Amino acid sequence: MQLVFNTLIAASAIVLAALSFRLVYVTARFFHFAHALTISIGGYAAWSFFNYCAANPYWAFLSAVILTGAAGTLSFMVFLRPLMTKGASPLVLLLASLAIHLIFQHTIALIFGEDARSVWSLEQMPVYSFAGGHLTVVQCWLIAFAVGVSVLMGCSASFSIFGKQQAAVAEHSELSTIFGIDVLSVQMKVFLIASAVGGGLGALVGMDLSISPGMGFDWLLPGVVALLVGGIYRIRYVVLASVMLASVRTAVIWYLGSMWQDIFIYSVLFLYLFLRPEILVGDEMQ
Amino acid sequence: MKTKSILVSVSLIIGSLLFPGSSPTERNEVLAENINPKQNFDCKMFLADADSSKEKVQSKKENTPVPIGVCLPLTGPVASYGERARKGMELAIADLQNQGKTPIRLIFEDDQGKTPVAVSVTQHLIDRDKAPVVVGSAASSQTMAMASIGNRREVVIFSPIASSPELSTKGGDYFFRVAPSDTAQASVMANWLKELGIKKIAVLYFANTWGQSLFEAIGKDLGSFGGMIVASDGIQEGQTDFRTQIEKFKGSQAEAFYVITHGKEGGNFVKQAEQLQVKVPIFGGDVWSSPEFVEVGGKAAEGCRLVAPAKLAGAKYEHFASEYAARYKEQPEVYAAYSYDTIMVLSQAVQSGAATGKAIRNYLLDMPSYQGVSGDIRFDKHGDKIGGGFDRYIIKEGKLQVVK
Repeated sequence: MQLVFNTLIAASAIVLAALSFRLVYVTARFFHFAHALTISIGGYAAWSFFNYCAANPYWAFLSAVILTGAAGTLSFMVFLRPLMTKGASPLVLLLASLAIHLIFQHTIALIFGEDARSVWSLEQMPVYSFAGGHLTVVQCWLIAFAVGVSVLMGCSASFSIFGKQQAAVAEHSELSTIFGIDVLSVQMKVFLIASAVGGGLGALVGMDLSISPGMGFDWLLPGVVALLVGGIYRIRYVVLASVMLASVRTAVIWYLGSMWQDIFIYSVLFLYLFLRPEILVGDEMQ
Repeated sequence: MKTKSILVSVSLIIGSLLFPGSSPTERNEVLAENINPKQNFDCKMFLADADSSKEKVQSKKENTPVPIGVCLPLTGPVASYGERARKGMELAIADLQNQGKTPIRLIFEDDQGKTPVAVSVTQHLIDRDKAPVVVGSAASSQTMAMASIGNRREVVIFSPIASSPELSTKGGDYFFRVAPSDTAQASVMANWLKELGIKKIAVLYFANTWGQSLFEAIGKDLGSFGGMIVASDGIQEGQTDFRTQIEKFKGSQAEAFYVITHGKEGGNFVKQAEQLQVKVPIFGGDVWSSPEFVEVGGKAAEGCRLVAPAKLAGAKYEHFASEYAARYKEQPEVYAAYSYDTIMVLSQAVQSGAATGKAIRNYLLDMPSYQGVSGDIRFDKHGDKIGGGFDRYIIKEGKLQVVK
């Protein structure tokens, strides 16, 4: 049973990373590596609220989500929006995003130091046992947060006006403007939501494990792999891919050893890229 | 055109961030020299008197401190070790200045805890700064790479911290260190397990030079008294989720877990082990003596046992500790003391007239015993410090306590 819980915990983290990254990619049409910063900022924000404001874990989590959402929107307006307005290509935006990530990762290291830190002590954290497996309250939040974000994003994409506006902007931003959609407003909301989700992931991971300046990229990369395997356009397939990758990871560690996990995960990615997409996830690439 | 210029600018920014260079903020020269008024006078006389110019140039060379390169992880996952080592070295330079001795100057560079950067930095220090010695690094993987360069270029590589047993055999003729080899650490750990009646252990280890060699050493030492490793897993640095590995170890009927990782990974491991209600004792490597382990592990770190370099004592160490505390407002730990002794020994070598890598190497191999703050220092033919050992520790109330 513990292995099932381990898989769920890992899958939840991957889903959150994948869906938040997907939101930015589908709308802005470039690989936004600086999105990894939202995970780091969420972790350090939770730590700061916990240690300096004596916040309880619930408020620390909420505050981290709100702060990271705001920071992500600000970074879009200050750094990326000017480049996009000038018609920068996806490659330029990717490089700019990478530079932003490196600059602020090192800034976090300068401010907080390189050492890892713990956000929430174990002795204060309830642990639940069920059928031989154990879950902490933070791990339960992580799973619940992942489920909630998946359902909300899926419903929003299919049924809400914002979801349709976002799809329109992703498809053709100039045409969307002609049809009266406020493109800037949609883009800002996308970055706000994506950064908030990333910040939530960072806060929960920080509370469950630890935070360090380079943590963002470590948690984002499996999400990107899940996104590529599951397909950019179908949220349910991204969720399925995340569960599959987490299962592969757990099985490989159990039977072969930790050093094999990355080999298998990236082999899965390569297989997907090598085979036709319809074989794995259907014909949604339209 | 505009897009191209933006692309070039962004590439330059990324290049300067990714690749170390000789930027003023990274290079930090600690000059152990006083301004000598005679030198200024000599510069003017050089123009007036050509006959004595050679002697004066010779005199100027003799007064010039020998450059000593220092390659440490000042940023990155093991930056805490690099910082402590740097503080110990700077204190040594300050003490030399106070004694009126100025034989060496230190040139600090950051290897970021990465082997390619350590290699690049070492080559810069040798080629650009003409350093006959490069002190560093902290991690055994980086030190091994630096040692191969040192042996090719006849430059001494002197590590104050690296402890992998592999360095004794593969470090080469130009490798030296003051930290005890992990061969001794594995032996102390195996004896401890034997005394506790523990014969079956599960081992989680870093799959790098340090972790791999300590894993092999403990396996050999355990086998000598009938013990065995019933489960093991090699991991990469930076990994944080060990729940599956812990579950595997629980199923192996191990009587203890031995975790050969840094403080961050160790802290996460013990935290998750407590969540998963692991009841067996957990032992760690010497690096668990870092504050990071207790910071990350929290309450779960209580009762964890480890083997680390022996607690230092004696009048010389007490004096060093009080100077260190006065300067840095914190208590020193063992790697700061090793780093201090490293600089003192090298200073002694240079003062004896050794100025090239070969001469310094020969001095170190034949030198008389030096009484350092970390104890008696002499080297064997492998460059290992003779003597010096490890103590057993247990974490109580967040602090290391020696176990007799």
